[in-house]
Amino acid sequence: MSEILKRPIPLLITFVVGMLMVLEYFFTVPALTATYDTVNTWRVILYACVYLGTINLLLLHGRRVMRRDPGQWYYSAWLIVMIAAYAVLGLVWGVDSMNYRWMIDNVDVPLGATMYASLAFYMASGAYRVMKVRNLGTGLLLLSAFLVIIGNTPLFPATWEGFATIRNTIFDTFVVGSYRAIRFGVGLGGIALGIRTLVGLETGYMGRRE
Amino acid sequence: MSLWDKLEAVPNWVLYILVLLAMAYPIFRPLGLPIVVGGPSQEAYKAVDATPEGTYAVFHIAYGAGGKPTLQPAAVAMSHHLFEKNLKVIYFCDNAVDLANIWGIFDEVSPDTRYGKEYGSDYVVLSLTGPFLTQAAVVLSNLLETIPTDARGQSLKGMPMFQGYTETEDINIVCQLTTSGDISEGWVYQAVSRYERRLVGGWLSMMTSSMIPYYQAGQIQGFIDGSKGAADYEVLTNKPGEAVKITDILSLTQVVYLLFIIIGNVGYFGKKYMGGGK
Repeated sequence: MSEILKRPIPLLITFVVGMLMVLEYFFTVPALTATYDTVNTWRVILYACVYLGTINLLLLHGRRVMRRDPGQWYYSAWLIVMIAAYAVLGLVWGVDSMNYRWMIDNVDVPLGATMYASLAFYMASGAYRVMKVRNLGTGLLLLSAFLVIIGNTPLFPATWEGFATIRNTIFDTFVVGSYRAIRFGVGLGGIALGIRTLVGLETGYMGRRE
Repeated sequence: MSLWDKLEAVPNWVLYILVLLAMAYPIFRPLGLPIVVGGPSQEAYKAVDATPEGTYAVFHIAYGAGGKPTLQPAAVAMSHHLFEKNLKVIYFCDNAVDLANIWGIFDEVSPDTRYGKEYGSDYVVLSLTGPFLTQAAVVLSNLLETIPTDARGQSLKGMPMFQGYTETEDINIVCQLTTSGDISEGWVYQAVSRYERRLVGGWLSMMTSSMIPYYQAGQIQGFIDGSKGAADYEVLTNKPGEAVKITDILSLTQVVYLLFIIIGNVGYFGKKYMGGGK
């Protein structure tokens, strides 16, 4: 019985649900569409796993604090304190309360903004040190990058709109062409993976097998 | 150390100070540079503008804390436009940070006092849980049956804006602002391919190259391209705000980048051809 539960039944469920998704896309059958919509909304239930993740996180970092792992335990302790603080604020006052918003606006937003803003410095250093015309390939890369930066910088198109036109032309030709090729590759790979999953040749989603 | 070596090896701290100055200067002395509105922003504006009054717009906010400085001004400008057009707006997000961002939008837009809009009659906020593609499908196909309450716990079915509401007919346009490639592409799959709605996007500039094929193919009606796109939308709605202020910072900082790329190359070639470099 356990062998049936481990492999054939999950494979059968995958096949039935997968075929439902595929058939619904190609055929207009009301019953099929209704079943598709219902099954689609069931996936919300799977999100309950996030709570298991939180428990796992607390156990992992709780152990580090208990063991006083050198150089780590105080970070773990701080993580637990912050999880508790957010949980208490959210559960007691609600996530749309002013208290919760104060935490978001004064902790999350500045930290997130700082992380993104620090990229400006690294990008400046990276561009200065790496973007050099060492050969034809890097020359072309530098030229296109230079023109795109100029087109993206509001100052330049404000002085001559042609800068924006050049930038848009690069995007509309080279960039779109390249990305379409990537998309086609990803799409074909996705179709192949989907077919292999439907017929039971790809079973990685069922977890590692001994 | 020769001049060419020095040009090629400017210390990071010098570079960082100059970038910092380029960022800080316009804060104290705004340059007031003119803004040339880009084509995608204009198309996004036209798409929202062409939405019939009284129909529904879904507005997905998904930029978290990191994307807030770039995309919140766009969300504010677009919200002004949605309320001016008398659309019924369904805001939605899937986490507490974006929920706070949405309340922040209302603080700036003041839909109740400025546009005479009422929560529950003209706009609503949903806080959903689940994988994104499912959320999008639920909002566009089966909202009232799947999601009983809004972010405040009030019943959706009891709200005036949902009396006589049918998802398949009433939702006319989907607007989304996100820092996630999966979400921006996911909306193309769900809103455009699956449910045949018009879609307007907005994201960080670095995502534009991966999303522009969808715009060229007509699947995305228009889009907001980072801070510059947000500034464009503020200009188009005649509500200059944070994004317009950021434009000066963007200009000066990128000029510093360009100057240093040139300096680095001058040093490289000088050393190669005149300084005995390899």
